[in-house]
Amino acid sequence: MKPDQVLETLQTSLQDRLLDSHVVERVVAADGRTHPDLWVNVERSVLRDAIAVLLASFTPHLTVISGDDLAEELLLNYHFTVGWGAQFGELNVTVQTSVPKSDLTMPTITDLIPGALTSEREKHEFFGVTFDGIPDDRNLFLPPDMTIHPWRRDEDSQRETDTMVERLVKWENRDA
Amino acid sequence: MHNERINLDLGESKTCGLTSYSIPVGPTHPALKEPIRFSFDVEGERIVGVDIQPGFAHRGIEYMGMRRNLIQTLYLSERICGICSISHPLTLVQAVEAAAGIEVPPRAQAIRTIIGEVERIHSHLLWAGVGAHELGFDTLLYLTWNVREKVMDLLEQLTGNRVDYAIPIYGGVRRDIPEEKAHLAYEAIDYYNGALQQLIDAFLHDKSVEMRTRNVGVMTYDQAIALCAVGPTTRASGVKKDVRQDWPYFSYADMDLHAITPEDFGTEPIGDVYDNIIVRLLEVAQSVKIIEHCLETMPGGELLSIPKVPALLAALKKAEGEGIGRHEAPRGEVFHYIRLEAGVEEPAVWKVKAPTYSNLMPWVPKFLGDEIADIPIIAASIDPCMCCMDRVHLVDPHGGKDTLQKAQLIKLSREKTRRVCG
Amino acid sequence: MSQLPRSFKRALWVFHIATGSCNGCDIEIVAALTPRYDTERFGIMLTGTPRHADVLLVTGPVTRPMLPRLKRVYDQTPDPKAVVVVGGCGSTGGVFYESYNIVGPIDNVVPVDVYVPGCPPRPEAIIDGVVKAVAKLESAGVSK
Repeated sequence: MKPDQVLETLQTSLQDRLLDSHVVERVVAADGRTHPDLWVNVERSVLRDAIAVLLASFTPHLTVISGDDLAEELLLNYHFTVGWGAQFGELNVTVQTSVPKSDLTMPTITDLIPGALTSEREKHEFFGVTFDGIPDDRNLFLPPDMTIHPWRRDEDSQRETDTMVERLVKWENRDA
Repeated sequence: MHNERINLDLGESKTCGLTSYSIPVGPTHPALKEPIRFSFDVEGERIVGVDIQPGFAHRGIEYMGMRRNLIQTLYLSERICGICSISHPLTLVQAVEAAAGIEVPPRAQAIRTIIGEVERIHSHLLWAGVGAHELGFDTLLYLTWNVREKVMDLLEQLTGNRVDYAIPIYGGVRRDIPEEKAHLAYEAIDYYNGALQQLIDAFLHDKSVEMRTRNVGVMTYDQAIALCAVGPTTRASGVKKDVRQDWPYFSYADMDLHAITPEDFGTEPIGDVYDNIIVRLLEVAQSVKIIEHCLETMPGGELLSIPKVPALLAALKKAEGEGIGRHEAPRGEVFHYIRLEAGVEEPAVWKVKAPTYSNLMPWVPKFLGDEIADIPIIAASIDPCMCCMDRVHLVDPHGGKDTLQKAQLIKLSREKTRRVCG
Repeated sequence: MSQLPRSFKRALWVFHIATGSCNGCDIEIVAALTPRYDTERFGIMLTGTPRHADVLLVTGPVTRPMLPRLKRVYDQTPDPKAVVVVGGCGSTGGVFYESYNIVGPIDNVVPVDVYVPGCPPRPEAIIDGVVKAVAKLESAGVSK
């Protein structure tokens, strides 16, 4: 699978709703061969359409959703792979979208990809994002009564998280 | 024994008494992995619903890693899991090398491949022994783990430790496999080529194992794709996903590798526990061949592109960018995403996805429709790395609750073996 | 103070509890039972319930959810008992020394008799730790 194939498909369907895209080439294998990674950026409201396009034309595998706290907003990265099944066939495709902290909601994609539930629940508990339509929004990895959001980097969240942090080894005047 | 009094036929549920179970199993388990909680809805002996609640071993690894420098994070990542202990460092170094633009010499890539494959052998043999123990075949547990000790010796001779080898580092590997040590690896290869047929006979050509694992814990091809399953769990259902085949990294690009499915054994994939055994045992054979190939074609040259650690730390501090690393661990695809900011030692974002993360939801279709006595072997079939019975609650919509200890759950499983095998 | 029952030297039953470890120590504990190290020839075996145990093998840095369970398992184990901590993270926190979900190390929760350091310690070291725990119990007598 080549990045152009995927990019073209997305561009044809989404046109100018596809905000940005870039390809990163890097050497991964011992023989010097490079793998391209495709990154695309869409608005939150376009995310489901973009994923529907991927599902219609390819059989994508959703790896995980990762998140980045950028002060006023969160950047969510939906990491897919496309083209698995044949040697050298796979391409990493990451769909990025921003969520403003003033309105931390996202549409769920669990009706399109049932396996996304684990990732969405994790983002809910670690960042505080609410996924509209998610079938199950309980904490997954954190204890059920824990309300902190450990991956948020703004001051209030950090302070809250720090109240729960315990230092197991106390070293005088030195950091481990 | 209540077993005889229970009517297993759901059609007559109204007239015959269906007993309900609620099984809290202690958070520990003799053949260990981490604690986890299951909640099963049952009607009689049949499981009709399951809820999985992990989190008992959540240590906040990513939180800790984002507050340390990258070398400390590397050693932390090694201890995410003690069984696939090199898989996380191998993925992390890929991600950071991509983000920072650090090159890796080919000899280092070959060594990484070799140690990764030796680890795969030890992990699959460990799993096979644990699976046998869940079914009640303790002799197979001891046999398999005894065979596994040979590969643990090899790991110790090559890396210095049985677990947590500290081999990969950004830009290469920390220890060499010199000519003088290569013979140890060849001896292990010969040993495994001999032992493998014994294991295949013991597991795959044994009537009792087949009766307990055939058509138990089934996940179909379509379910595997929809739930994004990875690793031998998905390959047992016939899905040909394998990062070494699809996205060749390290030295895998030089080889003709394909994902192993039950078709390689000559059977149609059903996605049951038996197919999981097939895939993992055949992968041990595949690993042995990969190690042999890497040893024969090992390139010369240096081991590290940035030999001095302070220089490495300085280069990492200046680095800016994002990187993705992927590796096929024994349990499936491991994925690390990292974003580095210039001038700061800690990573800005570090996301880890372990294979069992992707295989949590596939547990659900595997359990549905099977019996309580099958719970241990189905739970073990995805080779969970955060696993086994923490608490198992069975709630019957018809009745009250009863409690069974974990020992009784294993006992049920073993009694079923005796019943089924006559 | 009365002597330890003679059965202590013949059939030492061990209960293992993992409080959020990475499984490295747990696997080395199980490896200690396999034919290479074969502790069963000394009568040492893993039991499925703490109520039958003489020695508690504890691993892991104690995550929040596991804290009450560790306490309960300790209380359920009848006296005389010894607690052996296996691994660096149980002894001092190891690499997990600062987190929002970790409340260990283990000696913050239950009294510990023997620490087996290592990450993970070898099976031989674990067996040595169990033997030292029994020796400690013998020399201290039954009441602790």
